[in-house]
Amino acid sequence: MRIGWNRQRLDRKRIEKLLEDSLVPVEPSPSFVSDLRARLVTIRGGRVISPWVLVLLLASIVIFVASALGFAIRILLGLLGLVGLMERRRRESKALGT
Amino acid sequence: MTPRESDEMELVRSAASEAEAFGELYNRHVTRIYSYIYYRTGDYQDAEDLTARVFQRALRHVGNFQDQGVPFSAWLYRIAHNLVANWHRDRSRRPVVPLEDHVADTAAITHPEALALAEEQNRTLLRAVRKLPPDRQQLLILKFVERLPNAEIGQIMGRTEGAIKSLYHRTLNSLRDQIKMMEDGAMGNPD
Repeated sequence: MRIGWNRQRLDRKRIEKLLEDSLVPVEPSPSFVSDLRARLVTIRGGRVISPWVLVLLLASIVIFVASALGFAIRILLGLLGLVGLMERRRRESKALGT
Repeated sequence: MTPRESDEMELVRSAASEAEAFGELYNRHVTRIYSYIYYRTGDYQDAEDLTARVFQRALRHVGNFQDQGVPFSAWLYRIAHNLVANWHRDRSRRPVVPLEDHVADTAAITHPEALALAEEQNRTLLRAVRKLPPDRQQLLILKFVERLPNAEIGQIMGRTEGAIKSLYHRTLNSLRDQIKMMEDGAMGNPD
């Protein structure tokens, strides 16, 4: 299809007018804008847990569990020792009584 | 520096660590970046995809942004320009999607023949624009879609204001030649 621009003089002002009429801003869809914003903010929020932070967190958990386990074992051993001591005293007093 | 510019720089500094600050920057610039990419690609879907990549890249590197008198928007446009250039390079072996679906608002024209002519002129002009070299397309989009002054276009394109004026003059001449070539091609084509 021929659109007849050759018949009109294409001077600078006419081209500028055509560009003004044709190149108009376009809007993205509202759902795209809000979804992308949510994704970006989530990524930024997710950045707080970087791989190094995760490694540090895991190491802390392992150390804490090991310490807690060690503490629990010590208490258990202490209790067993106490029970053993009490049993020994009971036997000694029983032996002295007889 | 204007109050708006200093406010923006404050936001940029906060955006390195605060999600909401980056969200505010995003709100301010997303439409302009999308519009720019749309005119460079001619496709809504690709424009959305590339816009998302621009802001993801900006998010990763916003902490490295340094205030050297160049506005944040110029930095975003440069990211967009590079991504669009990569996009064109990746698609160079595939057929280029013509920017024909987009026709500016011609609702004011009521006569059917006049409307058809206006739409055809619009499509031809957009086709001619897309045949220009990338830097000239960029200049026209920044000037007519974004309505930016030459000084700001210069900051975005890394050229002086005088160089932009000169490039603009050459771009209009190229566009006129391109339109004439397309017209002559249409004359030789019986369709």
